[in-house]
Amino acid sequence: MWPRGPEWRPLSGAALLERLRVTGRARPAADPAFAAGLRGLLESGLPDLAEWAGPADDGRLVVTKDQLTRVLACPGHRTMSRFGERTFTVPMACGALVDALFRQIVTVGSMGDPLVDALDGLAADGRQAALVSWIGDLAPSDLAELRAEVERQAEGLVRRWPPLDPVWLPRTQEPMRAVLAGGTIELSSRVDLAIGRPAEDHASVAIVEVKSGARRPTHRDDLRFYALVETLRSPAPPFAVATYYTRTGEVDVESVTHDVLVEAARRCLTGIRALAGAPSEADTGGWCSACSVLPRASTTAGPTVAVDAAVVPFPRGQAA
Amino acid sequence: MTTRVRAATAGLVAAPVHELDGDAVERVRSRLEAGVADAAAGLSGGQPLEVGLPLLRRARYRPELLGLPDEPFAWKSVFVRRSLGLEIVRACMEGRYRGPAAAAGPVVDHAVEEWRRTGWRTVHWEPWVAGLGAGARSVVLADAVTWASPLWAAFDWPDLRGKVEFGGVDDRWSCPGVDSVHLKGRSEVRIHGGGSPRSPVSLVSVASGRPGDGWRDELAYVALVATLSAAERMAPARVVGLWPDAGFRLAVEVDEGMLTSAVDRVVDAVAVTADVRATGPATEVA
Repeated sequence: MWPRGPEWRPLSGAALLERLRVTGRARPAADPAFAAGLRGLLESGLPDLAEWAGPADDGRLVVTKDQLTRVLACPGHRTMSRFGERTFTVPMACGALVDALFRQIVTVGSMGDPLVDALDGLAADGRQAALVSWIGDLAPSDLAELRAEVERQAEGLVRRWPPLDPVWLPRTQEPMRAVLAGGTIELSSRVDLAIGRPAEDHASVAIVEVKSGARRPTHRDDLRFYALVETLRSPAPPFAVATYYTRTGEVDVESVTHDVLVEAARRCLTGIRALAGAPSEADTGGWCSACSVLPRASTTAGPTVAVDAAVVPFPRGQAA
Repeated sequence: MTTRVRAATAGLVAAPVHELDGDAVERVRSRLEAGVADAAAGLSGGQPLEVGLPLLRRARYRPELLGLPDEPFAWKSVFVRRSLGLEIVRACMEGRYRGPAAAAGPVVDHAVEEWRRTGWRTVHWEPWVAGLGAGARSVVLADAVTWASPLWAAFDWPDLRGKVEFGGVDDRWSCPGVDSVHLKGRSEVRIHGGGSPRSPVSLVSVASGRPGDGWRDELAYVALVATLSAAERMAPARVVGLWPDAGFRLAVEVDEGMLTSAVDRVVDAVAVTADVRATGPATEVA
């Protein structure tokens, strides 16, 4: 997948910026009727939400990209929260540290000792205390491995990442929420970088996700979830969503079209119903190897899942 | 500048929709004093209770959390972002920077330099930020930029120059006869003038997350405390609420009914808190 020839070189500076800005492509006009239809598509599949006994927080179901990915990968993951605490790994720590360095590069344009700065940043964040503590307890060999990888990726970031014009309002770790079904469902995300002053007449925002690991097909699903949430909360959808791979310097940019958003909404609806405890055909098979040994509860017939029935006609192939 | 932003900006300086005379404010005040006195009778031993938006929300949506001890205070980036973010928006409004990302560093540097020069802590966090390493400092700046950017983009600030007051001291009001209950209100921005005798004419309140079903009462509460704490007891014309995370901008035009609903929300919150304090938080009971 995604073969790279021997001549391939990662983009950097102005070239990387042009790629992220999809320079040369007209920014699509906003389409409020389409956005309303997208919301309708999602909510039409959730009329019987109150009948399901789903995992709820404060009377509402908060849905994140990670929850969607997990629950759609295996029906057994509906109960994943019962399986204990998250276990930290060196790659996970590397990802968090590189995320912190990316924020630093975008915000101040420079860094000192990468590991020191990144740990310093995570500690100030306040939400990563457990991870910082775990890194502090690493064996010297693991810490050396982590340091080497963080330094390698940091060097690439410093060399390649372009400065962003403050007029574009670059903002990091921006929280985004979209409320559905009268507040019963909340789609929640936090994007690594959003660029562009929000506008109501045309798409003006690009969203960038940073990954320190290998490229995976599911990363596109994450991007599309961000595009969906931004479309539901803002007057206009983003014009592009992108994943930037700090290990290799690859950048995967996807223009946000109506088709992309409809597909994201359908996937999201299937995931919401699963997370909310709605019986579905997904219970009948496709369990992952870790969950396949678990006892399965008997399933009962539930409301019909009409995820393919759009409530409004969506023009195909038209940019959002 | 988009049509939507221009309309929102014009709305901040528009004439009040409702008339609100001194008698109306007096009726609201009397109802509040009577209600709080009654509800606070159940508070044990005169233990102080500071009412604010966090308490109103907790009492309505998560009463089981009332009565739990607060975490010991320690500086975190999240505690800096509002005051720094407001200074960033002010600096951008004055035309000194091209956007929040350009303003954040110089604004922090200036605050720390002033503290070092005078020993005066204008925003309280200067010594903490001065002691941070580069990584932690960048998180503080980044959080403030992310907080300030949607506020900066929400209105045509240069058009409001001369009418805007960012931050400022919290509004406070203590209930006569009930020493233990104090109301605290906070708005991010006050808009003055616009030819209105009511000043400030508009308050802007910024919140994280998304608005709950009691958002009207919560915005009205901000107006209530601003009114009671003002020397001339003059109510603002409106309160505009921004929930940038969820993309909401909502407003209430202040009238007697709106202030009364805020009073009832306060009284409910005091009563719920008194009840929880009397019985102990749910986690302790369990």
